[in-house]
Amino acid sequence: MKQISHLSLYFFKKDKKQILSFGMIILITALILHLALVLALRIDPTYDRLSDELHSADIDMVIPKMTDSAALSDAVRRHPSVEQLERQRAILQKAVMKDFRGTDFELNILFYNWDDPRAMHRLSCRRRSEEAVQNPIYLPLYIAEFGEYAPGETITFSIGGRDFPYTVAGVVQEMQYGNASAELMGVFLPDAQYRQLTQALEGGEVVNYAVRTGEGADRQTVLTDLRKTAEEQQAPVLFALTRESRKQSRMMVTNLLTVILAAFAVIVLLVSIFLCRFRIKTTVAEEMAQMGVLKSLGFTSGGIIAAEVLPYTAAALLFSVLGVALSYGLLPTLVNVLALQAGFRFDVAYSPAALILTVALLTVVTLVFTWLAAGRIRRLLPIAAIRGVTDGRGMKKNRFPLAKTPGSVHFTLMLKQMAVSARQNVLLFVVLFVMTILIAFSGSLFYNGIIRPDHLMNTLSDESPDVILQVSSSDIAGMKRAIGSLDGAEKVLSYAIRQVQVGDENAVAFVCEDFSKTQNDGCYEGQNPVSGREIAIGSALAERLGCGVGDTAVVTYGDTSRSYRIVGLVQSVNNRGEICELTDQGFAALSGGKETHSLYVYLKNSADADGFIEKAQTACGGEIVSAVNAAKKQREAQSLYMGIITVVIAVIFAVTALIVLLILFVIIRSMMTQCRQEFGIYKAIGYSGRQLVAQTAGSLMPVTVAAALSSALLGLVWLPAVNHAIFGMVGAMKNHMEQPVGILLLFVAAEIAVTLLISVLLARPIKKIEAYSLIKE
Amino acid sequence: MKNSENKNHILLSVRHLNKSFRSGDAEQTIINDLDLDIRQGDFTVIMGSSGAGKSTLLYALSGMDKPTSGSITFCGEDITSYSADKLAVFRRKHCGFVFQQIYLLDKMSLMDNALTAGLLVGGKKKETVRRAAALFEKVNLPEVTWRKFPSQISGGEAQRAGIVRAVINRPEVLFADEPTGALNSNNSDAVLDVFTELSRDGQSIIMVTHDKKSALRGNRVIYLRDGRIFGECDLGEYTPDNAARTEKLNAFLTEMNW
Repeated sequence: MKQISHLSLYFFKKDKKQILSFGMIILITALILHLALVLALRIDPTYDRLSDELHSADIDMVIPKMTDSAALSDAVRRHPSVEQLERQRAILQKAVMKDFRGTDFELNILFYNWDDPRAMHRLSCRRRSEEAVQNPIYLPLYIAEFGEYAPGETITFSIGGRDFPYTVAGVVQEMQYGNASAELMGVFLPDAQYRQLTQALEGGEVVNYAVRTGEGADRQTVLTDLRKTAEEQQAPVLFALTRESRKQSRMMVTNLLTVILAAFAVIVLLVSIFLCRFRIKTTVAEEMAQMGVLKSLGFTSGGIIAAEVLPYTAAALLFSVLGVALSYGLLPTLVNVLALQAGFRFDVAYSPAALILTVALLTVVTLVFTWLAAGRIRRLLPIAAIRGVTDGRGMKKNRFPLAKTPGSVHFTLMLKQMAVSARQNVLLFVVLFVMTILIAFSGSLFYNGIIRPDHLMNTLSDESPDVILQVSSSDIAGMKRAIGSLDGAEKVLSYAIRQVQVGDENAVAFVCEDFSKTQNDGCYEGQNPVSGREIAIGSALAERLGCGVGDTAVVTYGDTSRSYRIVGLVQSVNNRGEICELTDQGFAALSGGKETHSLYVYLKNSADADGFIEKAQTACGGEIVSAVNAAKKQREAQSLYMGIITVVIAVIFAVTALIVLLILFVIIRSMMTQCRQEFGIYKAIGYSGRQLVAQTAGSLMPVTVAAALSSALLGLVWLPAVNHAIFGMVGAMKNHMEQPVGILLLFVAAEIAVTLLISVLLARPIKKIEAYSLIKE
Repeated sequence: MKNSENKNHILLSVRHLNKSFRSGDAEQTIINDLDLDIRQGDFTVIMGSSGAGKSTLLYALSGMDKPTSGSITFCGEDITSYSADKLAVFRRKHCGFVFQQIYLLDKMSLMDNALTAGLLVGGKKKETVRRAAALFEKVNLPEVTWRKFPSQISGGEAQRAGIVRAVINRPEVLFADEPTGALNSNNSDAVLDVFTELSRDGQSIIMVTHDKKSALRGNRVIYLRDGRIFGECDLGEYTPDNAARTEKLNAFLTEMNW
């Protein structure tokens, strides 16, 4: 044992820089893997714990107050799966939050009474204004943090053209709603403000039926039952949420990030496996004579293998622990970003499972692969090893003979050097291939998120005009003409968003006079509705209703129900696929044609939306209830996405460059160790250090180029599938992402250039090697 | 000035050459204020006991190693001030090397070993290949061996291939460090015959050896001791089985306490 540890120490001393590089890659793998595991293992339970702590309901069902009755609540309570019911009064309004992260943001808001006692959906106040404030309001974490409203600051709700300013008195943790993608949020007014708002609005009063179900109940089934019960009691369900749908909308980005991190960790782990295999095999080749001597002295193959494997396994253990420790440094930042989107905070707690899984996986994988790679030691006969059977005896074919290969001697020597290094070529090819997968992905993101941000925006958002005008006039056609004739208008569309019921499911209905004139066609199967009897429905609805194109769906709005033929399937990220599309004509048959509409205005110059709104208000001010600069909102959202994408691309490039640097360091160090004498001979013959540096770096380029190009070209095939899978996870069934060959090649060229530069820098020590000292060796 | 007929032309001139190595606190002087002129066309043999500085002098003369002080002038130009890259160019243009350990590039065929040097100085590829082939034939390496790797041939064949690589660029000086040190008697003779033939063709050769038989091939023998020239002997042109030359060398070496 003592001898083995001495031998192991020798191997470590000999290879310490390469082992350190391997350790760095393990550190990166451990860091990413541990982040993914913590997200996967900790956030979900934290979400559930918070929900339990705050006594979250399992089902929420919002109905108009005027339709609420004791009979309905009794009927709900009688449902065998309902354990507890609490009726919570609120005011439901479609409100525009002014200056929400620098723009106006429209959302369905439930104004609750802060002073009402709550048995369910309790609130935990996280931050309060230090001083008493006038006109106070309590905001949920999501609105406060994502919308950037701090305690003491003002938040203004614009409802039906009237502004209601409040001062943020506190920020509460609630687990009742999701985030913006749920299209419904709750805010909390003290009793006095609640009463004032009730009086000011004269309507919109609702009751939220907060229901807790028994253990093991299928909440979606219970919700369907309760909807029917409500219908029977003449109470239309305006909104309904289950614990699962809330969770899905809040955890979407977290889950997406977890998957991406885990995929990233697997890629880097693959690189580290190939790296340790390469180093072990190279060490066996370099140390063959010594191993022969050791065997002849009586060392067993197992002992030598153990000594060889031990430094790498120890490095994997040590650096994976360091990677985990480092990930705890990054977790607070990551958690803050996720909390912003998820609307709930969770503590960065120690996760023994994530730690053990990360360290054990990396250590065991290293041990197994290094042990397998060192297997050749068993087959070494001592005398053959001492004689150095590898030195040229394995050479069977003289590849790229200098006499016949066209091109300069330096180019041919570069090819020859490449041709005799199969092991390093395999390692380099694998590393560059998998790294190019990331580079290609970032190239795709760069094009679709920064050069053509409309691609990403159209994938992730609904129809986006430049200006949205809410009009009160019943003469929509006349208003359209008037607005359309204003200077700067390109086209005007009548568009409305309404809450309807499709079958038993709540859905957001997009109502448009002509979907063929919209800019963001979300239809991914079939077509958009054209006639008054046609409907297109969202993916989630189609799944829940168990219907598709060609089937019939019954749509209920208010008291009116009507059947429509499903002609297409449409996507919507913001409403989790719970949407439908109806024509003006089709919706008029439900509403009786008395509804107010929005006019979606598309401008020739979207930058001048504010100017256009002024012109529109001057021309038809009395009839315009509200005007939203949607172009500005779109730009704000775009800049947010572009910022995130820039960070993602920068991180991918930095990690790729670091991994390529570490791998090239190991490869070039190995080459310098193995070819030390060769370099000396070249120098003696008259080759300059510069030529040898170029030859060494150049010998890596054919494999680099081949790996990068083949991975990039394959990327053209798999990137659409990856994008489809990733965006499909958030409900974007039809993504507008394109794979531009030019950008992809540009990114790959940058990767190759960086690889070449790193290779040249790493090979520079060859210049310092003196011919005479090598000859002496 | 390639292989000129001017036998009196001084090719290499060494003045006050010093080379010392530091080992810990101690400084060890290997070459000590040495002066030497090497004439064009001479087959100069450097002899001496172990540690006398033979190889150190050889590699300093060839620009493979830098002296501690002093000057080495090649055709009137001081090469001691050359940068590493300039010395590399100097070596490729003017020097050829034959080593005791042969040092062929083991992953290359014999032909490629020769062309690695031959193609480095430019010129037409076809001509260089033809010259390599001619040289291989001259050193008695048949075509069948040209495609072989160093590990597939004998030591003597490898050393002869090493000589081809060393002279393919028609160097002004061929430096040889114990070229027969790792060879058996037959192979040694074959290699020495090549050297003799090259010398007869006008090739300037500087050879380090501790082997009397090898030394007999030269026309000038320099004996080093403690980093200085302790003695010098002019043997005249080599002819086989020349007892007078052998006796002269023996007497010289006896005088040198060899």
